[in-house]
Amino acid sequence: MGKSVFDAVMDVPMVLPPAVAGLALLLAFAPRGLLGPELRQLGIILPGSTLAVVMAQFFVASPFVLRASKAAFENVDKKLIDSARLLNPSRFGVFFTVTLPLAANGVVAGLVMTWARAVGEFGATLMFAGNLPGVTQTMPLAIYMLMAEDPLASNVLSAILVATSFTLLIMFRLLGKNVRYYDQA
Amino acid sequence: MIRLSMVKKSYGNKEVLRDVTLEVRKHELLCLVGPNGAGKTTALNVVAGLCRPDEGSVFINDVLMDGRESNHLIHVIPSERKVGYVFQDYALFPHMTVRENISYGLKARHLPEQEVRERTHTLLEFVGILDHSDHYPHQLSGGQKQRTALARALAVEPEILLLDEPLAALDLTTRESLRIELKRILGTLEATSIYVTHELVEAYAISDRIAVMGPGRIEQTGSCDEVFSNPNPYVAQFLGQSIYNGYDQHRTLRKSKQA
Repeated sequence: MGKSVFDAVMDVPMVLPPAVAGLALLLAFAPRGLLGPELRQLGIILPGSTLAVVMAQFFVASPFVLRASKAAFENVDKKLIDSARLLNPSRFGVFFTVTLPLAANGVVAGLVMTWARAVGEFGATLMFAGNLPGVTQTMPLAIYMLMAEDPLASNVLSAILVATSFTLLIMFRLLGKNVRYYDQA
Repeated sequence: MIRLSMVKKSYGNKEVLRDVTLEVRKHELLCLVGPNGAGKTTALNVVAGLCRPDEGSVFINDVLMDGRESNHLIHVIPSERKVGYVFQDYALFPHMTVRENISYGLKARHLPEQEVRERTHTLLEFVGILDHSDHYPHQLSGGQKQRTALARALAVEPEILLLDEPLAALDLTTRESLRIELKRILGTLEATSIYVTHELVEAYAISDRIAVMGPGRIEQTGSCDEVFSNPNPYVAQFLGQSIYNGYDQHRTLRKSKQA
């Protein structure tokens, strides 16, 4: 029961409409929000800052890496960990020499998907961080803004995003091929 | 010497070990035989420290590994038990070469590099896998994986050796030849060993004594001749069943050859 609730909470940002996610971040971190006064005392004003962009993207995209990593760690054969525990006196040693390398493929896959999702993030960023050129304007926001006044520029930006995503996915496939022997032993 | 005394272990409400009491003498090879699901592997895991018994105590060479001592709950971690464990499907680290698999335990104990190299080389020769030392597990045959797993377990010079159906995954011919070699290797080592198998022929060929396990408990212990010639009712049934299964397999094999 506890585990299911935890899993559901972990996945919330993935199904939440981005605008709602942005609003939630505002309610929590804006100057009049839940933690606003404390943050202001520390001299931190989040909305409109570059940090807010990172927070919005991370909030929306984090379930990808969490999910993929969780599955990857659960998939590591318990007998391999047991073998390592018999030979290696250090828990950290077991984790870094056996568990993590065997789960790495999945973790990296999660990171790639997270990055891809974060780059495309639109709604939460717009709500929480705003759209200030040079400060909080991300490529998807710029594409939207340029669409009317400079269609060529917005097309170029879109093309760059398509090319980057495609290259990344290809690289990821190739990387996956090299480490596939992990599954077969 | 290994001694289990009234060991109990449950997973959820399933009692896997009801009451296991067993002694393996020094330098002795004891075969643990019994049907699938009797708890043989769990018993090995308890000795290795990979699974903590709910009740009862475990001694290795007269030192308490699991149990109570003057109201303190003792649990010695696996790597401190001087136990070598060969898993049923070998459990070789797939991201390491044969050499790296074998030297893993030595490196983890921070032995000098020179010593690690020499000992690994000796082991590679000892189990006859030197030619494949730079291969990854997925490039090896079943027999070669088995040799690697054995060498990896022996690398840390264990006083106790646990083997969980080490030959079960091999084809018949490899099994025969590797069994003879395994007997030679175990003979030279003089380790105290528990060898789990459900093949009576294997138990007969390799063991000093056998223990027959029924669901969750040891049913009978003794030399092969004692147990086979004077089985208690449960053991008699198990022996009969095994012989019949063997006969049945043999008959199917012969029929398929004729066809």
